[in-house]
Amino acid sequence: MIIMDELNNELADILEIESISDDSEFKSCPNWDSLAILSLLAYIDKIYGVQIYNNELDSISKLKDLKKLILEKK
Amino acid sequence: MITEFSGKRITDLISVIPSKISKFDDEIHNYSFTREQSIKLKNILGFDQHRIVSNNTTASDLCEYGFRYLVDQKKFRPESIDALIFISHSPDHFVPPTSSILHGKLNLKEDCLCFDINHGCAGFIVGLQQAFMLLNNKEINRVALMNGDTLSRKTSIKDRNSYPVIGDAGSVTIIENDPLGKPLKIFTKNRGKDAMVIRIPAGGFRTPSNNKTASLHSDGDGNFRGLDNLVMDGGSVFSFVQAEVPNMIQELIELNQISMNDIDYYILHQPNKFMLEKLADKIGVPYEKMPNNIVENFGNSNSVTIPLNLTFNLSKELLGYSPNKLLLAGFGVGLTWSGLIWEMSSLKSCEILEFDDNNG
Repeated sequence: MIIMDELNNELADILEIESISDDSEFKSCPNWDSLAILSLLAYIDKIYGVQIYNNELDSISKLKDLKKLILEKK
Repeated sequence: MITEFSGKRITDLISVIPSKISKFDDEIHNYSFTREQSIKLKNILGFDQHRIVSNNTTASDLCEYGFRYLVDQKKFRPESIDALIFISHSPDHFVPPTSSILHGKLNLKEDCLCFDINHGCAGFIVGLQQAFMLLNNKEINRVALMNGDTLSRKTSIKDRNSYPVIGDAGSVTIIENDPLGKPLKIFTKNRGKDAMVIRIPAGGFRTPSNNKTASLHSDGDGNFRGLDNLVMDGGSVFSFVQAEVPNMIQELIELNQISMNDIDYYILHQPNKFMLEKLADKIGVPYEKMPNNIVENFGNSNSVTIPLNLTFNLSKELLGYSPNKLLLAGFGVGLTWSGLIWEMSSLKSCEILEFDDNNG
């Protein structure tokens, strides 16, 4: 079980929504745009010291997949 | 790769910007995003205004203007130029080289090397490195390095990812042998497997331009562009910069056996304010030592951002008598990242000129 609750809160802030679950398909949110991508990647870089690339993001649909990718790259 | 040089000096540095200013607020209606979304982008990435050419002005026009200004100011005689390097993604033609066209217009002597280099964000450092290598030959004592791009002409105005960032500009840098020039090391790396992260898909021999490549299509994220237009995978560029640029700076600091505090100014390529602030935070440099105001004032003009940064932010320091220890770094297209630390002697010219192409 991966926790990383702070990432749920940050992503919800970026997408301007109440909350977001590990199973949510965050890329279908209307506010998911280039700025949201940049904000998310900047946060991941700052907090986890991991750099994510566009093609890696393309192959992800749920937040839990993103968490898994971050842990793999750490 | 690290290359080492000594006994070199930049004597004159001129940036040239087109006179037309385009404001982000006036471009919002071109984008398919809500006004609120675009204003948010503007505030976070630090957009305000950028310089855009008119009337088919080319990068070589801007460089020619800067060079003629220096000659008119009697900074040097044109016949003393032993080599001309033109670095750009915006050539006048595929054939001949734009450096040859400039050589002719500027009436340079026949004993002069001329070549074009297709390079972008790291292009100023690439150019300095080429100039230094040429100057190691005893036949060559003065090199004119010209950087220029007019990529607004290859960017879709309906593309909110690229259009607000892009600026057009040119620069002329005169580099000479000087026994007093301080030694320096240049760091350079290339990652060609990611070359297509920043690209103009059509218009070359691989995919020639036609009506199809010119027509605009949605990219699925609300931007409209054709294959003839510049496209950048913003997230990948961001991650590449945050991963590699701090490592490069660290290696340069160690190679020079100094500390981060010994650097007077970090003069970096200017992708956008957001990316530069994140970089400064990451390596622990105060924002005032790493200027990030070029995109909001002029736009990102590719290999001209370092000359623009120097002429806009540091002209007083560079024209003064005391030397400045500078870290210069370019990164992007290629993907190429390159940098150097150099205690630069004072310049004889360091200014920005405006090229009036609005009339006509």
